[in-house]
This record gives sequence, C-alpha cells and structure tokens, in this order.
Amino acid sequence: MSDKASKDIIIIGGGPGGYVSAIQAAQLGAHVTIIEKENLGGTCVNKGCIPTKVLVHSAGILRDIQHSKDFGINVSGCSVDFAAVQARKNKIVKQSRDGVSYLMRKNKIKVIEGAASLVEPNQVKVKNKNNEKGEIFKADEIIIATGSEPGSINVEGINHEAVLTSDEVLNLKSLPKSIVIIGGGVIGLEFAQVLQRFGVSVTIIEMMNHIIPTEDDEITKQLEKALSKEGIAVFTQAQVKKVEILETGNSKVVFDVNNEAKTIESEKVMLAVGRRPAIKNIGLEDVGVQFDKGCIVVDEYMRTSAPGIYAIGDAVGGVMLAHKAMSEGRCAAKNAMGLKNIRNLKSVPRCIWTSPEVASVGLTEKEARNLHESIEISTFPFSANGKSRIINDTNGFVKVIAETKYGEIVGVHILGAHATELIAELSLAIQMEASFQEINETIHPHPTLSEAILEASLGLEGGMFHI
Amino acid sequence: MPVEVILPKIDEAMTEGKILEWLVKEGEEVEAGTILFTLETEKVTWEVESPAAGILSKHLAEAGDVIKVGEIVAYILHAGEEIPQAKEDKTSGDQERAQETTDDRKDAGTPVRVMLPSNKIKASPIAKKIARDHHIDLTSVTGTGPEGRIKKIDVMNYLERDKKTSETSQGEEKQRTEYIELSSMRKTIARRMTESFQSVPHFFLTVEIDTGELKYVKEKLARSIEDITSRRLTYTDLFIKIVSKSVESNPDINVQWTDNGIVRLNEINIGIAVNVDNGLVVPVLKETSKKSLAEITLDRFNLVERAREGKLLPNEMKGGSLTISNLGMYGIDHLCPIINPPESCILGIGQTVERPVSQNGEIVIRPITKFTLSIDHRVLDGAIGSRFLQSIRMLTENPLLLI
Repeated sequence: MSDKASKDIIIIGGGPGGYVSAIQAAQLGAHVTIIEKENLGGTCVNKGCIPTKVLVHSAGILRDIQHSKDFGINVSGCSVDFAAVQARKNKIVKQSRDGVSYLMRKNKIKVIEGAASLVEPNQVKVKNKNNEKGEIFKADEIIIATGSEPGSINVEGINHEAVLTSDEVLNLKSLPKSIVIIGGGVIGLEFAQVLQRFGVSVTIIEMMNHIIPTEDDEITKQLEKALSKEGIAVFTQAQVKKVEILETGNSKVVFDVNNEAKTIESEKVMLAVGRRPAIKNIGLEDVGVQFDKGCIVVDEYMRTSAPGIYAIGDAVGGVMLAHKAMSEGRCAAKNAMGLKNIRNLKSVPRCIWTSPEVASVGLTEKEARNLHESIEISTFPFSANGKSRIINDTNGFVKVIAETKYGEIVGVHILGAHATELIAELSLAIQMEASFQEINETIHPHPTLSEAILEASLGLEGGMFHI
Repeated sequence: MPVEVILPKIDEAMTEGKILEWLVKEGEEVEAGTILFTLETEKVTWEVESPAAGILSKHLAEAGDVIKVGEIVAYILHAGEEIPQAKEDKTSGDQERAQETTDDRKDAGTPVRVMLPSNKIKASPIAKKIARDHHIDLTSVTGTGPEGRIKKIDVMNYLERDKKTSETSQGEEKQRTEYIELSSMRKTIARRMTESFQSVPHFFLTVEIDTGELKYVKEKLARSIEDITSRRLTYTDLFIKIVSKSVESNPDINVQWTDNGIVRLNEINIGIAVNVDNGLVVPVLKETSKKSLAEITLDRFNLVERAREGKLLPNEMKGGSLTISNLGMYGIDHLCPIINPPESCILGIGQTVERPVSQNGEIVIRPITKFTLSIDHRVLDGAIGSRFLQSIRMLTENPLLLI
C-alpha cells in the first residue's frame, strides 16, 4: 500500500482554481508544487475580479458624490483622477497577489515560475527565462488550472493590436473620450458602466437579442434601461462586420442592426465577447488529455482522459467564474489524494457588478419550466423595501422560483443594489435543498435589503406582506 | 479523524459474532455504505457497511475471528491518518472501549449515522418532506451528503428501491395469503391458550372405556328425559353426570393452582367446550353434582344455545372445576386438550369405535372410547389423576352406579 501522505502533486496555474486546489492538497498531506507563468492569483487577482471591482467601486463613489445632494450633503466639484484610480487598483492587486504568495508559503507549497507543459503522464516540463530548455518535474498527480484568455470573433480587423481586451483596458494610463465595446456580456457591461461614469462616451454592440442573454429576461430588460439612462448607447441584435483602425488612431466599427448598416467612430474599441480556455501549447495531446470545443473534457471527479491528470476552472469551460474554479480545485485535490469527491455545482452564484447589480443562482424561469412539472414564481420589487428607499436605490427586484410539489427553491434572481452580497443566502438555500418555508421561517433583519428575499419567498406561501 | 469500524449489535441477544469474510482490502478506498465485511451471528449472516468515506485501514481482526459486539475491527482513514496507537492493542477492556468509542464519536462529529437518535437525523428540508410524504423512516436511508447528510436524491433512490422490492413481495404475498381480521373471541382464545400452554406443565393420562353399557342406559333413559325436559338426552349430559360424580368421590381433583397457593373449590362446576362460528366457548354448568340428569340436560341445552348465540354471561363462563371436550362427533380417536385456565385438568373424549377386545379370554367386539385427561402437574400428580380417570371409567362402564 502506497503511503499517501507523501504524494507529489503538481498544479499548473496559480489562479483561484490552482492556488485553492494547492492549499486543499497540502491540507490533505500532499507535497505540492504550483507552477505559474505570470503572477500568482491568475486572471482573478491580476486581470479580472479584483482590479475590475476596484474600478467599479471608484465609479460608484463618483456617482454617489454626484448625487449627494439627494442625501442632504453638498459637495462642490469632484473629478476623476484616473491615474490615482489605477494606482489604487495596482496597490490592491499587489496586496492580493502577495496574499496568495503568503498562503503558498504558509501551506509549504513550492512555487515555480515558468510556463509548464505536460511531457509524460506524470511529468511536467517548465520553461522560464532562466531555463530555456526547460526543467522536468515529476508528480504522482497533476491538476491543470491554466485558466482562460480573452476570446475573439471572426471579423475583419479584429486582431489589430489597437483592439483592446479587458487586459489592456485595465492598464489604460488615461481615459479615452469614447469607446465602442463589442459584446454586451458580463465583462462588457461592467467596463461600459465604469467608463461611462468616468466620463467616457460608451457604445455597446451586442449580437444577441438582449445584453447578458443567459440571465433572466426581466433582469436584462431592466438593466438595459438603467444603463441607457446613464447615457450608454446599447445596440442589440447587432452584428459587427468590420473593425478599422484609422490613421488618427481612432477606431471605426461597422455593424449591421435591423438589416441596416451602421458605423461608429470612437477613440478606442474593446473586444469583450467572452473568454476561452487557455489550453494551447501545454502538451495535452502528448499525454492523451482530450478536449472538446476548446475545453478540457473532465468527469464529475474532475478527471481528464489521462490517468493521474485532473483539470479544473476556466480550462474545462462551463461558467467561467473564480468561485466555480475554487470549488472544482478543492474537488480535484480531494480526488487526487484518494478521497472520492463528486463535483457539486448545484449552487454556483452568478454575479455582475453593474449598478444595479445582478446576482442569480440556480435555474432561470425557462430552465425551471423545462425541468419541473410545475413551478411557482414570486417577485418582490425593491421599490417596496424600506432600506432601498433609504439608500435611494429602488431599482430592481428579488425573484424566487420554487417547484410546486415540495416547495424546493430552484432558482433566485436578484437585480438591485448589493445583489451580489444578498445572493449568498440563496446559494445556501439551494445547496441545502431548502424549501421556501425555511426562508419564510427565517427572521431577516430590518431594515435591510435582505427583507426583499423574505417577502418574495412569502409570496410563494399565501402572500407578501409589504406590498 | 479516523472513524472506527465496530462489530455492530444486530439484535438484542447478540453478544458476539464471527467475521466471515473481508470484502474490502486494506488500503482500498470506500464510500459511506460500502460493504466492508460479512458477519455471522447465531441467527443471521449480516453485511456490515462502512460508516464513512475514506481508506480502509489494516484489518484489526481476520476472517474466522469471533469478535465481541462493539469491538473495533478496523478504521476508516483520511489520507495521512494512521490507526490510533492505543487501539491496536485488542486486549484492552471492551466495556471501556465501547464507552470511549461513543464519546469519541460524539466529540469528533464523525459521520456514523446509525448512532444518531431519529430527531437528529441530518437531512435536507426537502428530503425530510419527501420522506414524511411517503412514510419513510429516515434512519433507513443512506445519506450521500456531507457527513452522511441525507439529500433529496438519497430519499428518491430509497423510494425507487423500496417500490421495486415491495411491489414484487406484495404481489407474491397477495397470491399466497389473505389477511383475516381478529375477532375479540379469537384474540381471547389465543391469549388464554398461549398462557395455558406456556405456563402450565401438562401431562396426559389416557384410558380406553367400553361405552356399550352407557349406550344401553342412554337408550333406556332417552324417552323419560325428553318427556321431562322436552330436550334430547345426549352423551354430553351423561358425561357431565359421570364426571361430577367422579369429582365427588375424588375431591382432591377439585383444586386449582394460584400464585398464592393451591385453592380447593367448594362447588363442582363442569365446563363443556362448545364449538361456535370461528371459535370456541366454554359455558360452565354449576353445581352439577346436585342436579339430576334431567336438570343437567336442560341446563346444558340452554347454555349451549346461548353460547351459539353469543349470549353467555361472564359468570356462565367461569368457575369450572374442569372442562369436558368431546371431539367424538368429528371422528377423532384421541386428543390431548390444553387445560382451560385456571382449571387444573381437562377431559378429552374421542369417538366410539367398535373394536375387538379380550373379555374373559375371548375376543369380543365392543364399543371402545378413548378418554384422555390433561392434568396440571403443578397441583396434581399421576396417582390422583389416575384414580379420577378410573372413577370415570367405572361409572361409564357401570352406569347404574350413578344412582
């Protein structure tokens, strides 16, 4: 019997999926090595979650100040010091990155800098600036957590270096006067609103019927209205035909909408059409790891087609969220260490840090109707909530979907201030297989936005109280 | 935290069991519910499940070993864990270990679902609702959630399995059996006969009696009894008279065993077993030794009629010295009846058969009837029983002595 306590595990990728997986494996007694080619913390810490939310927050402060008169606070003159905003962002990114380094040290996880590729089922070659040829590392189990990179579309001119992705926009030294954002998904919307609030003239071009097409219909409708109200121009059902970079450095985007050709010229153009797994040049073919439609194929134990090799996070596709990667990372580490653990994505919350925020967990109304014989829906608007009035943000609603027979909560969708904080309660409810009765029996503090959750749930059992 | 795998107590009486076969090797991964080994007790063979997910440790007992209930036979480990040193020593007191085991389990919060009292079963609200709806005992459901928590899917799977097995077994049973509801009479008979059979040490004495003379006397008396009573004289009436007289001359037979001592009855009351719809009742004729044959006939007739109508009063079914049970009309040769408590004996009478017997050295054909007396040996012995039976035989074969 092999002594599992000294199993060697290599994790390729130091993002949220990778480093959490490393910590889990270390806690289970493994000797863990993590290989990162850029910066610990991966996309999340360096080019995603953390930096974008820093910008969102600054933009939010600006807006609050601009409306402070509503609250009886008079402020004369406020402006955006974009350099300072970026500096703060960089500081927080560095703090987070250092935090991950600390966690690696604390858990005795060896960190190797370099680009890894699989050479044998249990061997990884790492190349970096000090070692061009590459050094071989052996392991009992390998976990691939290489994450993702900005995706692209097949459009003329799209690959011009002047076309920005989220990576470059985050590192802008100064604000452009105008920007066209191709893609009305999560990333596109967050950047759109931040930049618009900072004074940039923003246009969104979205191919599908609505922005954020995978979310609840009512949410997308109301959010689009809110964004338009702030001055963002939104084109949906719009197909980009061509991107041109002019001599002046400005961009020109040609697109079709309603069978009409349109052109918009702006200072910058950003491509935000989604992300794709970063699985090129890591030796998948050499070791027999299968991938499909650009994503590594895994089973419910996060195992790839090659024995001893696991894959998690954005690299395997699905919802590309840091917390989903973390959950899969823990699952893979447990399996690598000999414990049988099945991936559990029942309650992955999906959040968008626009204003109003969007947060949802579980099924959409459409999905719920397809899956269950009969469902009940109850929606409570924040306009009827006391705290909403207090903070002067009455946009949005809480929508709870339960299946009729046992009242099991199957989906919740929130549009409104702090939705991303409110959703955790419902993730727990779905994870624990709670029915709306459990929520109805739970006392929610007053005055808070969370009462809207209670109200919506009460609506499934006889009637809401505060509307 | 290592989880103990103990030899489980399968039934109340079990104190130890033999490990028949290990089904999981040392070092193999298991899930909660995986069958680890088979166990043999006096009554059954049992499959023992793993209490948790993890890796099976070294087997602390081997196939063929006889282990006491509660002893640890292995551990379920997580990676990096080892068997607690102290526990490898099998000779430490079972009692102590059992106590420790329970406490450890409570403290460590390790998943051993069978130990949790039912109101502490970990199950999701939906799982509980579904279980309630379908009257499922959650203690019989295996949970696959964290720490053995029962999820909706676990209850649904249990329902599927349950439906399949009950569908087949119910179907089979429906073909083989039919359930009949218990009448209160049947319940009473069951209770009293069980009580008598289990607590009274019966012994049986049989005599073969020549009932030829009795038949002759019955024929002679039939007309006059009928004239007096308007009822037909039966053998039962004659037997009641004979038995009463026999009790008179053997007063030591008229006793009963009680917890406070032996009770001697002052009256001679004779019970007769009467067959009614789906059951049996025993009306008791009172003070039969003081009654004439005609009176006995009338008494008997009335009681039996009321017995068949279910109209007997409680005191008409009590106070007997003994009971007569006659199965002659059903063609039974010989019966060993169960004493009717609290009486101390019961007389079983079989059918009359024309048989060759030796009389004065010659073979003659005579009507022979077997009489069996079942006796409570706590209070009556063979001698008194025999004397009583001989009196009965004497009077039956010489009925004129009844005068």
